[in-house]
Amino acid sequence: MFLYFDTNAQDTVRIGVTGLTCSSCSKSVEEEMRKISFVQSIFMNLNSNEATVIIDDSQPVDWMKLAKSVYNAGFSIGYFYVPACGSSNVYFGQMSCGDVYHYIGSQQVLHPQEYYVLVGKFFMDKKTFGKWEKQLKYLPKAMTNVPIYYYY
Amino acid sequence: MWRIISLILINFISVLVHAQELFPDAEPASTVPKGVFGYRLMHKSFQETSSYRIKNWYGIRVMYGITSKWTISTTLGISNHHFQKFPTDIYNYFFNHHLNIYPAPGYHIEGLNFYTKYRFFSLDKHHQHLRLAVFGEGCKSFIAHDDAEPTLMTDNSGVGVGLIATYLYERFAVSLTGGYLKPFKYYQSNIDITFKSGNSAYMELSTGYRIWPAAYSSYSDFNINFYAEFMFKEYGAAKVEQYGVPVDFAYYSQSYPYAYLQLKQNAYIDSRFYLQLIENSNSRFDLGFAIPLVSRSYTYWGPMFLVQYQTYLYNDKKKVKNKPISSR
Repeated sequence: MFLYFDTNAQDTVRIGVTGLTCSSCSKSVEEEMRKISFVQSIFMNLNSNEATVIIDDSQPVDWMKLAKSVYNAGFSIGYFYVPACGSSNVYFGQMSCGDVYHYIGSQQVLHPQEYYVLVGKFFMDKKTFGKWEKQLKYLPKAMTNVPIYYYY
Repeated sequence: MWRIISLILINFISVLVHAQELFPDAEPASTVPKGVFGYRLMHKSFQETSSYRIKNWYGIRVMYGITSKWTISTTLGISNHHFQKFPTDIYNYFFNHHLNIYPAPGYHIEGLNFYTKYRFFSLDKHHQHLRLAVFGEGCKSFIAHDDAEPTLMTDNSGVGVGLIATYLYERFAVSLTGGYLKPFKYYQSNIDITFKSGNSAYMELSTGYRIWPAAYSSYSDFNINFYAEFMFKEYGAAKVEQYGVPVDFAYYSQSYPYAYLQLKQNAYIDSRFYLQLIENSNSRFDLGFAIPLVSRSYTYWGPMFLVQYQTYLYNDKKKVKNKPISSR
């Protein structure tokens, strides 16, 4: 129960950065992320190459901007786990997101304290996104080009 | 002796299967992060055995990431390798300028090298990546280059293109660079001389291994990397003409063998070994030496010692300080 109420994870993004093999590379990713206005703090695990980003929820967030900072540093994203946030479609949680999001699966199982997998070609490796594309065939084509929450 | 040391080091790196891609000499296929400036200070030094003179080359390089895939850099070189102009007595110059009976050239601004690189392929995985890049370079030299071998790192005007493939896995890095150089003619009107170095093709194999730390604890961990780089290079003979007449230095190959060797076509394999120290995951200090393995380059006498320092200047428009999030 204690962990349940320690809700800082609500404002925390976890990004698996791929292509990193040294601390200099990790640092260049972190320096790019630090330029973003809604980023409050960053903790980069130099061995697992997972960036834990604390979000300033007083600012509007844009996950694509955060993802692009990784690519700007010259690296890629393996996974992108985000907390729940509101969008023009759905309001959920404390933050407001600039993008339009679509939930995959039943929204009844969503919970604000959980992480969600952000699905999109900029938010995961190509192989994983390819698998998602096959699963998402039933969705309208336009919807597969925008970030998608998935219950984690 | 140097060749034995080289072979031991080659065996050493072939046993190790791990390094880093911050190659001191070769450019990796990776690029400078977007919007980031960096600079590198370089010094190369060797003793010209024939004259016992110490020859130095100093360089400063500024690099910038235009996009995440496109990097540009420029290098300014200063050295005491060459004269700014050929003297009037061209034969005396070519026969004797590597001897101590001939006046030393003094220090001059050698030239400017412009380099651009575009990364067109990336395959990133956990703790590994494969990248491919193309590059082009040009050099404007301000001195009278006098070797058949062209080097666009400021001492020879010309252009070059090439392809780089870099693979990293955990602590090991390997990179292969293939390139072609086309030097321009140097013309000096007061003695009506034209000098053109030979066209050149080269292949460079670079390997690196992170010796320390085995696992990171923070950005402030001191990094120690080892690099071994090998360059195969071939080039054509220099073409020298004065008053419209070709000057054939092969005619003097017996009496002035060094002048002949310096101006004829050649192929060689060179090796460079470096220790690299990285502080705060940004500033790096490289210390190494270069020695010939098979045949030799006539642009230096081995061993040549190399020292350089490089750092990136991150542009923090909005600096985030890691602070605990406020409790709710």
